[in-house]
Amino acid sequence: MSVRPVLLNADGSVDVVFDEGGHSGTIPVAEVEWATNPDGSGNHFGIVLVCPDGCGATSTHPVGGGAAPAEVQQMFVNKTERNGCACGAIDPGDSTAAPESHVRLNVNRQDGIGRWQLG
Amino acid sequence: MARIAVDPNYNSPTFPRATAAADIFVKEDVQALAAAVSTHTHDGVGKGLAIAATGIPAGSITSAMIADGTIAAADLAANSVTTAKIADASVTNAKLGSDTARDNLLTNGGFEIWQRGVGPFTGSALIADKWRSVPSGTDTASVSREPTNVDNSLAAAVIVFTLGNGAGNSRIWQGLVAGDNLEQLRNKTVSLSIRVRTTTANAVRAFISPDGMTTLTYGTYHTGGGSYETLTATLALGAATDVRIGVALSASATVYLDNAMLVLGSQPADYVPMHPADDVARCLRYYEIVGETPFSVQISGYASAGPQNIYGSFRWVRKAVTPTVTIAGSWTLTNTGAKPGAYGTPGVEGGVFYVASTAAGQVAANNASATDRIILESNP
Repeated sequence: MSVRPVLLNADGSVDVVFDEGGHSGTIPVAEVEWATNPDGSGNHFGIVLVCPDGCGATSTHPVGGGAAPAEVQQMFVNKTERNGCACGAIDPGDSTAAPESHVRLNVNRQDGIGRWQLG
Repeated sequence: MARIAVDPNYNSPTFPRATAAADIFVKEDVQALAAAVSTHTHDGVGKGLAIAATGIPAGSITSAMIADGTIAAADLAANSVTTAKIADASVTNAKLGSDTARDNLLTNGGFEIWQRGVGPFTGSALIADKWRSVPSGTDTASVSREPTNVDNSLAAAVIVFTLGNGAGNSRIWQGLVAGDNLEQLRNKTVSLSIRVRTTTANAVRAFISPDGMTTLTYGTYHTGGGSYETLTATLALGAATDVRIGVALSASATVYLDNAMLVLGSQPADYVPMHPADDVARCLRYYEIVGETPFSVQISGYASAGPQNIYGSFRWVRKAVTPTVTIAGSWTLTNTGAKPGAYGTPGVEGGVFYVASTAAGQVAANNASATDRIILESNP
């Protein structure tokens, strides 16, 4: 199992559960982070969630959704809208359809057309 | 005087005869009649006496004498129809008995594999590999691995279900989804069978949905007789978008599930157990634990200073989609301040992990305890 999002809050924080440990809690928006490339830059194909219980469990969710496709894809859309994309293609605070389109493009690139689960 | 030369009912062979009381009687009438009778046979339209079976010469009735479509099954001797009497490629799926072994389209149909643990699982949750429990409304379901009340297997699933306002919409199900294992089933008919045990009548029934639970086709309810019964459902999938199969729960009950089988065709099939290696292999496409055994995974190297990254790469069973990668546990760390991290986003078949040195010297991270592991989860 994974540290998986179950509720995406309006302030950007994410309620998660880590089933294996029986843990749950809220991850602050500042700790919803991109995965990192070898050069230390952010990677827009992944978001890392650390179990808020303090057990140290760390889940890297792929943009395709991995363990929880609908929730994870929406988490990527929310983060991209709020923070912009790690690749620089989307600016922070973009309220147009561009963030979702960019995430959807990355979902298609990663797992193929048909993986997109949002409406 | 009146006579006829040819009898209207028996014209071959025929005989002449008088037709009035005053007619002259001639001995040739008797001779002709005797000659006709000596060769007379049943004419097929009811003249003469019925012919007893003993009166029919052996081997005299041919196929042409039997009306098409009139031979009943009772007229055939047991075991009298051999393969040679059946036209090639003519036995349809509908003629198959449930004990005809067929390929199972499900993953972990036998509820044998529980990589996520043995439960109890509550709420909406993945339970046994590839199976989900999704209670509806205020319904509650607690699902666990069941090692005792099984149907000729090592494990089953037991569900302690309490009905709230779910109205029969709580379900235990497995999905066959687009991009994974759905496309080749479109426009086919599939049949589900699943072994179910409960003491509550009308509490559980099998279903198939072609569209993610928008519409469902149900089978009949379990009788509540307390024994394992085979519940079935059959559906022509058409242009299915999101196939889900399983059981729906309609009344509070303790329900055992075992040995589910999904096959192509209109006839459900009895469960065909898989070799454990094959059973596990299917499950690993969706969920896998790397480092399940303590000290089976290590990333180590030598750093000339700190911080320097030491890398390790791992390959795993190819996943249905890019997996979520979870690094669980605390690990045993040498000259590093943190357990391994994933570099970038690991892929469907493997990934790179690293630890950073604190100072010069040997750097290592070991999965020393049973909770130290890398978990891959891919849910298409």
